[in-house]
Amino acid sequence: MEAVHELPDKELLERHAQGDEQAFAVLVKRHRERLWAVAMRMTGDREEASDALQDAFLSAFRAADRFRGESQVTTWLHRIVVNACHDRLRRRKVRPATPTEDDTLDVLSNERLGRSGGAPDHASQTEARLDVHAALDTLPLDQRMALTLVDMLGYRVEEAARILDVATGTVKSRCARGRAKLLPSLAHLRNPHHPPDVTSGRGGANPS
Amino acid sequence: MTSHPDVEALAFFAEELLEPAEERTVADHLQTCTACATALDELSEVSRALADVPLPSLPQDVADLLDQRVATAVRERSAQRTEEGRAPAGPPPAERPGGATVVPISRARRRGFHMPGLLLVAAAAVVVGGGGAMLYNGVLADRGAETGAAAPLMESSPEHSEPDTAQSYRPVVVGSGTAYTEAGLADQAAEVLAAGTAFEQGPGIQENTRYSPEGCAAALGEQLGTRFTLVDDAGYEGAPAWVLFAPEGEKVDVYVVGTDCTGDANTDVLAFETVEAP
Repeated sequence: MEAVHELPDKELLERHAQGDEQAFAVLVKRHRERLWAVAMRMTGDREEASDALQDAFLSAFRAADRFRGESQVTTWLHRIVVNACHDRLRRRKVRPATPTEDDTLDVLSNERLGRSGGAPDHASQTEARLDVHAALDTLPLDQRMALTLVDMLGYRVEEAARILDVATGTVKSRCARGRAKLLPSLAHLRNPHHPPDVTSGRGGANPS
Repeated sequence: MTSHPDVEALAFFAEELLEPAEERTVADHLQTCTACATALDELSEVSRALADVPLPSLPQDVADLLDQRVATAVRERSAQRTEEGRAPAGPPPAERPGGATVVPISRARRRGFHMPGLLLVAAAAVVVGGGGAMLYNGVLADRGAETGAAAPLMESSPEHSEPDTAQSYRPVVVGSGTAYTEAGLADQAAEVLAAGTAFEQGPGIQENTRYSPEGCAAALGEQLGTRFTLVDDAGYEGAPAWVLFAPEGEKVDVYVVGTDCTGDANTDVLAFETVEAP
């Protein structure tokens, strides 16, 4: 094993910026598994996750000389991957993707069911058996990204805040809003004895 | 039954985000209301349902593709360095003439850098004249039309009627002087969109800028599959920044980028917000 494999992230990035031809590949191998999980969870789609991951690493490749060392390299890489996923999600919201792969058809059709009605209809969402990703697709992107990092991938709120470059309170409130929106479509997945509409028929006056 | 907190309030309660008085109210309510207590439990079930989704492992073909692309990038960089060194990329720094309250840089640049001050003021008046409503209607609202965003500008100033197809692809650049912050971004962006008064000129473009504001907006717009119609040359969290506005139907997407914009959204974008169109 070459010594370069044992260098810390920051030094690998510096060496890469100075022209080292191996350093960046080491960095990629070190972080790609984790970042793949982030990209998959963010996009819910294998092809998009693959594209986002490649775009992100190539962006980092080119931007290495602008890394100021104010954050951890991992945080910086996460942020770039999250941005790449965000771009794709945003574009998908604008123009829904055309199904091209058999293995994406399920998610895509669920997405359409979830989206076509405009306001979420709890009963039809249940009928459509929205999976987690389709449910996540109904959230605003900022809530989806916060929930993905904190609830799905287990990042601490502070880490998620650094990755998303927002305050910790912002991450908490985005997660809270997202969970509230997901409750009708997800809570019953784990807890089938409680009907999903237990919270929807109440007075619901917002006390704020 | 109107005293039930809604689900979002319960979710905020769980995150300890409520104001003390409201928190007490919700806590008291939860003591006696089983439906709300159940809903609170279910909120944590949502988190658990999300956590239950197994982590995907990196497929070999994706890993191979990634290795290939990185290897190609390394080769290209080496070749580039060997052949020509590291020439700085991007257009030259923009020259910002002073005087006008709003400087539509796109017009100034298209005519060369030596546009007389008087004409600049006139060009600025085209943008400022109608106030905020016009700024929105003219610059933002019509972006989807095939006729191009130039049309409303021409309507409000018939004397300035030269065909200007390039205008529809160029954002208007203003300097609102807003010191955008992470916490205030949504409100600040909405204010700039709705502003009915003239903008002050911004702090000016940094000398080491690799992209002009409009060049940055064009490059990022292409990458993001959107079109930025307004750029605010301002500041964000204490540093110079450009705030790019892209209308998407009823909403306007707002991207904050550093003035060291390289045209790569993955690394340039500092913050993102979506605000209602004014």
